[in-house]
Amino acid sequence: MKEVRIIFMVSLLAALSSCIKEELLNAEADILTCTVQGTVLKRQPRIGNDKIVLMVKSNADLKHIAPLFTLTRGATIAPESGTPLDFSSPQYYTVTSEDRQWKKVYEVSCDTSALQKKYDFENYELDAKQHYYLFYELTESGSKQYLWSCGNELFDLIASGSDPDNYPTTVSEAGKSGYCLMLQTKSTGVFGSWSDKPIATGSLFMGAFESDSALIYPLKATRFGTPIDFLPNELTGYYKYKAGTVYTDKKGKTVPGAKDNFDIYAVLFETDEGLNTLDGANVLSSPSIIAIARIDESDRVESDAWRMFKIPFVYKPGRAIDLQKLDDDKYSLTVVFSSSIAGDLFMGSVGSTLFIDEVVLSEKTDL
Amino acid sequence: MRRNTARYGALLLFLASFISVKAQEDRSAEVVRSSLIGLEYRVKAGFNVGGTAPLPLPAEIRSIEHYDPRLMFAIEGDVTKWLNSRLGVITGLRFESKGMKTDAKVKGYLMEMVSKQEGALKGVWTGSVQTQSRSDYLTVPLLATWKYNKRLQLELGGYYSLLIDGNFSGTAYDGYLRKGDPTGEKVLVSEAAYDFSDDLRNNHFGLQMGAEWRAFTHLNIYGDFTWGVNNIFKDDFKSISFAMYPIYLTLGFAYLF
Repeated sequence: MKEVRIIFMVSLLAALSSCIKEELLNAEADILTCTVQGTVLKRQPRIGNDKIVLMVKSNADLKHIAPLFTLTRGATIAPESGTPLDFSSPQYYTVTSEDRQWKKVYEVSCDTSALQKKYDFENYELDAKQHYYLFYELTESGSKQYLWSCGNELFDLIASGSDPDNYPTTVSEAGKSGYCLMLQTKSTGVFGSWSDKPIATGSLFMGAFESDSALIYPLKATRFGTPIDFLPNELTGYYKYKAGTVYTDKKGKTVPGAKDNFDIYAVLFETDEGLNTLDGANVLSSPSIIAIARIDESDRVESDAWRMFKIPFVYKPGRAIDLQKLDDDKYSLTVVFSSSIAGDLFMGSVGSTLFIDEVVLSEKTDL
Repeated sequence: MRRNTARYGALLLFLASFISVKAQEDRSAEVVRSSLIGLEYRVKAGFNVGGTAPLPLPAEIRSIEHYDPRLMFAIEGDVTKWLNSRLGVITGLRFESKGMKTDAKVKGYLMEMVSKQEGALKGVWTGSVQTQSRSDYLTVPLLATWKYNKRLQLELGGYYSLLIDGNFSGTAYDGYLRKGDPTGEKVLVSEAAYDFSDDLRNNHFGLQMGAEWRAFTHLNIYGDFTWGVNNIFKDDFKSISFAMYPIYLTLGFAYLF
């Protein structure tokens, strides 16, 4: 009997395997890498699913930039890779998949503007899918600078269909003046709890969010840092905070007696060939860090009224500051706001809410 | 287990008593009387080996890494009405389980991971998929039978199955999902579970073909091949882009009264 079963199994398996069909042509249409020859880029390009931002030096000639792309195997791109184009305004590339069934349009833009110093959170818009809000700053020339990123993209994957106001990072009308930033720790539901990510912390940071690997390596998904051309002195602004009631660990289990708290910090660090950005694992510990400004434990107070924060940058003693590197755009800054201080480890209270408004970054004058 | 297990127990009890009573009577007066008017009774017990598979295999399935038929039983009591010395009609009642466990590598496989109440992560999956299924059915076969010779009897017909309890679940692992369609956002996933048990169809029809070899006076060896003609999932189920059909072989022994 057993032998009959085995023979049958083997023959069935053989029969099924023999009818495995020829592999389909690739249906994906991705830009995998993007490079620009020469030294016009301040940082490696930020490649999103349908958007690429090239941070370009202020003296670069935008009229003749010829980005080179590599694509999903078999896919084609128009205009072709290596074509010089005028990037005074964004350019659009269409990638067509190997099977010709799918097309994706990428917006490729150059950002030459310097880092803004005031953040009022008055400028926001819906993302391309109209699911959640993105914040941007306006430069002197009036163009949009997408300085800020957050984890909404990941939350969108897990809990799509929510109203934009229900995302962890959103906007509120109740600002100190006008609108303000609203961060709220959310539950990620069943899917999140399966993968030991029961909560999504409301957060906003300078840098890029790489949603690709966010489920597997969440700490690596937050790519902190944007080029800075001055030395920061102080981070000031206003906040309101209310902690959620039930504190849970990464398994979603209640931790009795634990209370959630928020976090505000800024990090100045040096980039080089090997280090383009910091991530969740080393943002406060990397040897490349030059200065850290982090809100003091005693200043993290729950409040229904706006409270001012004033956080000095503490420069690492003995860490030399190289003004030539500053001029060469080698220094990066990130500013991070988070509604749950241990949110990067998926611990916190659902409902913890942090409002932020009128943030100002001051320049260090006593060099 | 989404249905009433009591229903199950009652059924097993019924089948067990049917079989034991029949066995004890052994050529009792009733059986002799029945055989005079062309009726013949038998009980069958065997293993179900096979798979629930799309046919033909879609190009999305790149390889089958592992296949395990698991231990699935079929118990049946049936009656044959002989119309003449060679031709007859068979019907009966069969309690059976059909299931399997597979591990496959897929590319561009449309699927939905996650529970209903919390919204879904739906898209195109490239990576590995492990599936386990087990469905318990109450089946009524209706077959024409033909005696080839004194020892070999062939059967052909159809069946109706009622799903009593069903499970169809698994994990998608080591791969990535493109949200929505192949141009959607890419998410690497180490492991995510899915469960389509509640989407299984209740009423099934299929074709059945069988052969029975009379080894001894009362003991036969048999093999029944069954092929479901409707998708194991409900018509409104869209999370898997292709229909899947149960295709099984039952091998076992039959006792003829």
